[in-house]
Amino acid sequence: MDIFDEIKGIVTLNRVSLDPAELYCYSHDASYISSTPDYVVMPHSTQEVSAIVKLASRYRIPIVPRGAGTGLSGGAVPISGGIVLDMSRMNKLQKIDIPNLQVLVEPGLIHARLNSALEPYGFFFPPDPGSSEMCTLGGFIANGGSGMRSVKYGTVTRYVLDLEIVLPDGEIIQTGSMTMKSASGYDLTALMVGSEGTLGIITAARLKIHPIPEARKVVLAHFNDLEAAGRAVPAIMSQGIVPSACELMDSTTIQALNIYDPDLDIPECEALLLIEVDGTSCSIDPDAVDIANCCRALGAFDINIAGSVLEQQEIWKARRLVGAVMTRLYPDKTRVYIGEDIAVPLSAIPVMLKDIRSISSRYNITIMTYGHAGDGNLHTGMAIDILDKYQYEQLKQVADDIHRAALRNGGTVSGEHGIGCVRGTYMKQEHGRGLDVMKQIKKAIDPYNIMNPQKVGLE
Amino acid sequence: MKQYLKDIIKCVKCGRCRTVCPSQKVLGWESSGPRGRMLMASGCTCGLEISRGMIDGFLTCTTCHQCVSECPSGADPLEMTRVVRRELMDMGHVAPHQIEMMKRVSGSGNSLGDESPRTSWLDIPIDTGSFDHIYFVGCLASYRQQETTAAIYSVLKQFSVGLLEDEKCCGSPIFRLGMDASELIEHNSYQIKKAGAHTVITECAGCYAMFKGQYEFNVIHLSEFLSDRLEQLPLKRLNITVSYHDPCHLGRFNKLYDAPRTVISHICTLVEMKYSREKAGCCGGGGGVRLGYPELSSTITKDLAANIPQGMDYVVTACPLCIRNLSDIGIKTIDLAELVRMSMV
Repeated sequence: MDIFDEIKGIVTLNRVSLDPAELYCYSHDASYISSTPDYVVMPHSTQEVSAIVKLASRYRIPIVPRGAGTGLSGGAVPISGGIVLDMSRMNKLQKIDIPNLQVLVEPGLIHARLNSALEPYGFFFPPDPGSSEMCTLGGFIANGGSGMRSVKYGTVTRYVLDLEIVLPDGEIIQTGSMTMKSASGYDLTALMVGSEGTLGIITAARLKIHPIPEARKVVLAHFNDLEAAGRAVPAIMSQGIVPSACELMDSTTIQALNIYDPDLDIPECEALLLIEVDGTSCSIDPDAVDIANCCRALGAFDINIAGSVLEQQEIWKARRLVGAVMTRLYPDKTRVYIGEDIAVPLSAIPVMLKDIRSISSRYNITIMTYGHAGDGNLHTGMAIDILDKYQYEQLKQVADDIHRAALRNGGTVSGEHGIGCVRGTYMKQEHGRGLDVMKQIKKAIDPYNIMNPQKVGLE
Repeated sequence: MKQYLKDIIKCVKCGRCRTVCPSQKVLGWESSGPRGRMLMASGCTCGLEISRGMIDGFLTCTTCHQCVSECPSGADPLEMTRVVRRELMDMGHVAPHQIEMMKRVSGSGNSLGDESPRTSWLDIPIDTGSFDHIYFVGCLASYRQQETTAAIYSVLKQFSVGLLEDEKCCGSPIFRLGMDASELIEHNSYQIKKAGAHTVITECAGCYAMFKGQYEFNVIHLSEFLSDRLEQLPLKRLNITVSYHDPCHLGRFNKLYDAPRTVISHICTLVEMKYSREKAGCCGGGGGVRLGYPELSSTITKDLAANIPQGMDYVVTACPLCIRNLSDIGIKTIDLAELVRMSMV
């Protein structure tokens, strides 16, 4: 019996494929990297995942878990071939447990669907990625994701209470518990969050939830100087206000958004800060006024406050899609996700923005800059003719310069998208001896290196 | 396929489309969704082997337009799907349901393969005079809703709307399946010119979208024509409550949302579905999926049915495929024209 037959024995024929077209589809995620798997399998249960992993372990076949394939770092691309496990069919919201402030989900559940289900209860899952409508929670957790509201609410790490993990030998463990806190032994949950499928496969997650704040307001501050907008971010934080979100958009981003949705009608300017405050209806008004004053003092020429839910929804909807919208600005070019996720300390935002401008001038390429300025996480977007090999090579140089500038400014090469197979080169520089510790952990848990090999700069 | 590369690479693979695609929701595989189809189209430009998975992937698109509506980067996976369907056929990869539809349309001039005269619903000879407006009846209305069609025509006739002397299928069923519909387009265009008409009135969503996209005449939907003349119509108020299902080819394709609602609200009580207008679900019948993949089609319909409010007397829509798919799973579904007929004094 060959491997295909053995897989069929576990998941039935219609949930395994080695059709060339299917394999081709699963050779990509949303990054520019591709590599073809040998099989694609769509498990429906933890037991099936465990059986497939045991098989992979027996034959020493690489195994690559995948959610919706929306990752931007090649994390779900099977660089060494093997089995891609499409986890998107394990997508149930198993339990909403309001008294214990938690939910139990399967990894394939789409992020936005969790929040839709929680809304009637007056609760939400705060980490809020731009890809909420399409990314799966499993992929989100495995990449240590965050998003727009991390300024106040933190990244996904803060919300994972317990994970069910299929280890590289096929055994199943729980990493945590139902409790709100635990000081019992090593924090395996934290180890698994952001491990990008290199240590095990998430088959269920218990997540902490939060009450929806009574009120929200968004301050829109327009600047004619990008760096001044950058300076406004630490200035706001220094006032003791913790916004729920603080997003920066440069002039290119604003142009792209206006093309995508002319109703937004954002005034043309060098930079826009979107600062959201939430809390009680009594608390948000003074916070919004303080933020507006702070921005005005730093040069904002036009400040509006969006109060209505509808108005705010439109703003956030557009913000979520801005990454892909860049292609509308340059119809003959394609936005490529590369060097797109650096983060720096808040005080280094102005200098990082200046560095990006300088790199843009040096290579004569437009670099759209936007992102979660409130936690120092800046996304850069570049569009090129991807059929032009020269432009592609140049783009890699640009990305390299951006990454090195981030590290020089005390930052990281990835704020929330992960390392995957596109940022491994920088791991030694960023982590030093810490990378050796990561390698030792990997070897201890996955001695045959079958779990998503060639990722996170571990090889 | 290389000439389409610029269109293909507009897709940035963000995956926004995969969560709205009705086929991918059911089937799960990447190849069954718009992003996968764009990837396969890209693969075709560099020698990706044509396989059963690829053919099924392209043929399971219901042409619901949700991917196009949601795409932030402005890609058009729907048009690319149609192009690849045609290319696959040119290379000899023809599915049985494509052959079946081509046989029906080329043999009988209608998508049902019905050999009887197209105007057997009409009890008088066609007036071959000159008209500014002509009523393009469509295949389903001509053969399966004859009583309603006769009633609607009796109203339209009062506004000097004519019929084509020799109407044939608009070509939509074969065009969406990737086949060449130019002969049908030429035939109907000749007929319209012969009638001297500048405006075509259709009721079927498929015909409407086909005329909008592939013909060179002004086209309006029956509901648009009627909603402008409601006070002149012999209609009485009905004591029923209905919900309206926006057909994909009328709604998302052509943004026609208000006129059907105006007509319905004039006649009876309208309750909106949870997801309507641009967010309306797909019935699963379009793009040849009802014919070629009936099980998939029916599963998609059940998903749509979950969106219908409780206690409706009818679901009203304006697409024969939506009517048939919803009716097949036991939902009392009628055409907008039928609702108008029920209301006629």
